[in-house]
Amino acid sequence: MITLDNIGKRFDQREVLKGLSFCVARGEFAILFGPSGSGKTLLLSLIAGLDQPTAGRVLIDGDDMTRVSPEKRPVTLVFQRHALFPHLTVFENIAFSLRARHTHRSVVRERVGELLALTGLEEYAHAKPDVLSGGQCQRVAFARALASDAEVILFDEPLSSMDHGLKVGLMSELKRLHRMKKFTALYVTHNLDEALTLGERVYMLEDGHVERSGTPREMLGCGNEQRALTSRRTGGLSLPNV
Amino acid sequence: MTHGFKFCCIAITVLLSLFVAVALCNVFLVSPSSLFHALSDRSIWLVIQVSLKTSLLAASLAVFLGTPVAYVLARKRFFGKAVVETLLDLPVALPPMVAGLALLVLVSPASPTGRVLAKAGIHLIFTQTGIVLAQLFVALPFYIRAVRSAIAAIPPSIPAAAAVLRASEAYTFFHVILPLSREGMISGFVMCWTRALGEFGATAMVAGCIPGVTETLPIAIYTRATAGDLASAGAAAFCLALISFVTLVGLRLAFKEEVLGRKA
Repeated sequence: MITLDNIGKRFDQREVLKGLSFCVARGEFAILFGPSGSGKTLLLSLIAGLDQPTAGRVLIDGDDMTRVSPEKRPVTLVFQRHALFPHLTVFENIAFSLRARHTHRSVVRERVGELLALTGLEEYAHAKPDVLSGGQCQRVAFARALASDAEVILFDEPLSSMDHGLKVGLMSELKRLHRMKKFTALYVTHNLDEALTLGERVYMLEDGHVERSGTPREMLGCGNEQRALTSRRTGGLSLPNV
Repeated sequence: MTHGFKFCCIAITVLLSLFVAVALCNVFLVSPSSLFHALSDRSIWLVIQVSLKTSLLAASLAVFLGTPVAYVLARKRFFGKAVVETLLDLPVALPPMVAGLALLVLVSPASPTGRVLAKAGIHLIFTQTGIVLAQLFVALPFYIRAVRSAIAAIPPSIPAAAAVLRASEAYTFFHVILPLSREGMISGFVMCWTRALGEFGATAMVAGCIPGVTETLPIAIYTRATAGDLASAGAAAFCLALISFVTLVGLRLAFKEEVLGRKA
């Protein structure tokens, strides 16, 4: 479970996050939705430990992780542009976290083999990331995150650079992986389709705080006035008609 | 007016090129007989041996000492970083004689540091260890600069990805940062080594010129040329140029052209 308790982040005079609080239940697939520049990626960095909040606490399963270094948190992050290690093969990328934790070689082989099969990447096991397509790179990033055995997986707009067809395929793959592995997910996007397709709960970030939240059905249920407001705030994106 | 300006620029370029070519030809167009005569002298082989041994040792030490420094300078923010950067860069701008004098004062038996080193059995004045120290002092910044640029060029998301995949900083350094900085390390090693190989001023100040012990190729060129033995000096210069040339070509072939070409 992720608990954000009154999180604040300030850069010099600019307050990007203002007393932000919410909870993501264990095993839930939550969406953090909001326009560009609203602090979504920054919030993921704070949860992952790549940056420190100027106020508030980050709790994972009730433990205060605010000052804990990223490698000691049960959290991993799937980056927007994959951030695969370019000098390692697909197999080695997926095995990275296991090897970093000195997992036995036979266990590494078994786990990576399982994840390669799960993500349909077996034939690319020995390929370097530079020969893979964007969709294949993102599947490697998903498999690599799953190999870390993190309880919480954060997704930073992982499908933003994909075309529609690829996006639909990867969304269903991600839903399948979530159903199978039951990890807690916080998925950042400014794309409403992704938010409503993937999310079990949607948090709308606006001006550094959670403006409103609810299930996709509740979010869709808001009236025309609210829809227009959302459209304006998200730079033209609008809630679909129901 | 435009034509006149263009003519002046071209003329200066041609004259300068001719000047460099003629000057180098005088040194490097060594007759085969005088080269054979110089190379049949055992002392020149001792000089080559001392030069190669000390410069390779200095460049290897630069890799061990300079890589962590380059990492800290590229990735960390700390109080006084600008001062540290300037200090580590200073030997590049410092005249080698000044660097040599500074080292001489630091390690001379009369100084406190020299006394401590002497008690530990470390003698730097007029020894090959002193040559390595002088070469390292002057050449280290070239290595640090190259590796620092290579590490700084790694996108921040890459070490961040390693951290969120539960890799410690040390694991990330050895398994991500170093492999991705390989080109910069090779390029830095070559720059550092060639600078150490050609080092004269600081080496002469610290280690002097004891034939067969502390005489390096640049010192041999100087002493032979000032003694009027231009043929022998030319042969030593030819050897120095040949070693650098063969090494550079070898490294280009071994690590592909772009490794050295991109950094040049």
